[in-house]
Amino acid sequence: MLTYIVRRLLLAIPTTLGVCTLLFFALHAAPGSPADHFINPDMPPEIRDTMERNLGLDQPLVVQYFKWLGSMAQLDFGRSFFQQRPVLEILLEAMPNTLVLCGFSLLLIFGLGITLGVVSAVWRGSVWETISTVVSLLLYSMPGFWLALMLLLLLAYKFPIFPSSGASGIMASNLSGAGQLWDRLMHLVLPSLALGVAPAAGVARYMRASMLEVLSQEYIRGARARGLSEARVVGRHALRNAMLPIVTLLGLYLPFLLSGAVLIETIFGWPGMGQLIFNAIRQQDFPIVLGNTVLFTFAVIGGNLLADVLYAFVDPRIRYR
Amino acid sequence: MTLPETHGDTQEMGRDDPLRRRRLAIALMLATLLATTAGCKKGEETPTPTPTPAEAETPVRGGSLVIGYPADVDLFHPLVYSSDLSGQLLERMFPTLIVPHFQCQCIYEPQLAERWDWSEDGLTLTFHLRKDVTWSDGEPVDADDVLFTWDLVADDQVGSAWAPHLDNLRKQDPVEKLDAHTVAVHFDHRYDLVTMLTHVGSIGVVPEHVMRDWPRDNHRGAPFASAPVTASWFRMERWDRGQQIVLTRDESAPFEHPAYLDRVVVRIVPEYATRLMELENGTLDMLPGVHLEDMERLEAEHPEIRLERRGLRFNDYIAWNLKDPRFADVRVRRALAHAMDVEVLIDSILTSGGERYGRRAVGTITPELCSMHNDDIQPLNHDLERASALFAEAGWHDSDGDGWLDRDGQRFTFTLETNAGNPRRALAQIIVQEQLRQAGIDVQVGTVEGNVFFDKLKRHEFEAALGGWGSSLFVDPSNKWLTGGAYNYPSYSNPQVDELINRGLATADQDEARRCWQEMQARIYEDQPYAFLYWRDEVVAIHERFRDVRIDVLCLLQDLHKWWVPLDQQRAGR
Repeated sequence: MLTYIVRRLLLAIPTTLGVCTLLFFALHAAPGSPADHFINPDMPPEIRDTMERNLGLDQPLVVQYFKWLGSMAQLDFGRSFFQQRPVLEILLEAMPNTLVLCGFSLLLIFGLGITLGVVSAVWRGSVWETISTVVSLLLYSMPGFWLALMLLLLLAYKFPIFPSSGASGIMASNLSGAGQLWDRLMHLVLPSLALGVAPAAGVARYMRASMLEVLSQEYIRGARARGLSEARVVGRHALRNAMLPIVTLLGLYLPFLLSGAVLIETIFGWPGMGQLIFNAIRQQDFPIVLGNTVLFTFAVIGGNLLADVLYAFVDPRIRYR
Repeated sequence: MTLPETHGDTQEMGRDDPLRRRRLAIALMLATLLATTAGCKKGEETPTPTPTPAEAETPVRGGSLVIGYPADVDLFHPLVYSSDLSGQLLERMFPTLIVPHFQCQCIYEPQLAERWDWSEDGLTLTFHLRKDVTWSDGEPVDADDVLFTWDLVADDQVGSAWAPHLDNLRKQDPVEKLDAHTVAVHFDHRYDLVTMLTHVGSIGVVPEHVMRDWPRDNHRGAPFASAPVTASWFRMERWDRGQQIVLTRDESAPFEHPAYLDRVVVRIVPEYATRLMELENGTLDMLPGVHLEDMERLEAEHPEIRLERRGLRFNDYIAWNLKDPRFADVRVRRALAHAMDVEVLIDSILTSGGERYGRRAVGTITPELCSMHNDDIQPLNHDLERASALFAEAGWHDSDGDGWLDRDGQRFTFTLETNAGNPRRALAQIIVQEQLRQAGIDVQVGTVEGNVFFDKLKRHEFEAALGGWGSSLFVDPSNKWLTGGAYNYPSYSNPQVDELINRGLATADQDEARRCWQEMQARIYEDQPYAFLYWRDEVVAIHERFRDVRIDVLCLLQDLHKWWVPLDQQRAGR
């Protein structure tokens, strides 16, 4: 198992390198120079040249590439063109916000998804199944940005229950510890809903299918025949086995959440990595785009690996070599 | 710090250009003179503050202003910042020797310099500084800070956008410290006195004792660029990057009086729909850049929100590539202008609730500069007959009766491109396409990503391009209209226009400059290198509880220290 993980991790290196190399040249192939974002029609060419020199953009592309590669190898992501701070520092500032947002969304995805799925499988044929199927299909087919705007309209504007943007209130720093925590939680509600609801519906569909399959197994009939309570049959015997395929979704949803965060963070003004990369792309702030991409790539690879490992962990029949 | 000239609204919220305040400025002495002369009427397009009963009230301290903005600032360093928001805020945080106000043109008042005088030969300008100004860390602001600021600006290593301001200083000992609160600047030649004053006086002064030892090629990365030591009405309280900027009143600000507002908060909310909603639910007090389609509803549903016009800073145009033989013929360009109906364009895209938020453009000098703008130019009216006569003169006929003009068997067809993500321009594009179709011109429309679009313009790789300018508030058309100018997209070249521009920039005589600019506009309009479309107003929403608010063409936060909120309307917890 350990060898397998190590091998997968080693394989991640060329993958990341490939992604970033492609991206590096794609970014530099775009017309216009990042220095153009700091200049205007009146600025003499010397100043523009100084800017380019300071940003290291005057060197041949290949030189820039190997320099970037060299510093990457030392985990130095370079400096942001726009903010002129180390990219790592900027990423580390934004990352906790994104992780918190994704964490809450994950809770929502699995909490809501599993519940809906179990309900519609166990009470198959009842009105509960119809309701939960309709609800999950509805949520599943809803575009994230639209849902985000509707949530804002309903829960921040018509009924102003939750704040609509940012990760904390204007004067949050004056609040007590508990007050600050509450403030943060309130700010989390709408973005996590917008990010998590559609995948939750997806999980519900998977869960329902998996649960139905398990419920039709011989050993469930056996358990019932032994006179076990329905709650015990479902909760103990069926649920645990039905969870197997669901657990692997955890790893697969991670990259999905990160890419979804770009849109949701922008709509809700959530100061995370999504908003960061959105602005960086507009400002042609290459070091931030590249640094962010490296992390995203790791997340995708890591997520896939996590899915595989979890699968082996929950199902003893699977062995990786 | 707030006079940007940009490529219209692809970047209008994203950057600011200190250099742009280069030309037009009026010193106090001239201001008095100008106020008594006729040339400076305010058009109906300029915003006039609506008098409310509240203005009779006495201002009180307290309250805070929350502004919604789409993008964060890059730095708080007056010499090397690049975002528009930085410029707006820095002017309230760092002192300048003189401060501008806009009344038909920029008029300067003393700030850090309590007065200034000129030597007899007009080559030496002496500033007498106030003695009661201190930095937020307690150090006094003195001549050393001013000299150090100029030294930084002139240093290529710093890469300050203000550098061209000091191009005309004497090479040998350009500046001089006469005593702790008096500095002199020596110019190498005389030009317009007001411009000379603006060049050296409008740069934000930075603290020498803080920045002295920092490497000059890395000022953008310095700690003081994100935690500034300031000396004006507001100082930085906190900056949660990507989320909010909180400024608080500086009690020690000696200019006029300390600000009335306790706090100014800028919330960074990238999505317009979210910002608009926050304005409506009261989270935000102020929202620049309200879309026209939202105005009627805002007016009807929110009596507590006031909508202010900022003035005509932004225009849209269609540039013809004069290297293309078809557009090289002035008759064709004039015919195209006759074939378009700009009034219809304005009615369709710049009108809300029956009110127009734009006016026809005849050049790239904003009508806000009342004395410089040429009001006498008669716009080419919509006249299809005249258009087809001109086309025919140039050899374009519908010889095969298919409804399209052709010459030598070639149909008159071209691509009109614009930048992506601008619904207004996309609509204008389609209206123009339809209007030209009626004249027998086959227009294809294309949309290109913003950076790519402006890159193509600079390389002259286009046929026709629908773009825009954010106009500066002084006149320096050299980049746009001089032969070979960096932003002369159409590759326009007219020796007479070149001569007028050079003369207008060099003269010290305001009247002569005015004559040059007016004639230049007329010549260019005649040549039609652009089809000039319209100037449009930017609309800013602000909650009505704010009093003595001045939002003008010059600045979003003009005289911010004078803004105030009545006691009973100040919000708790803010």
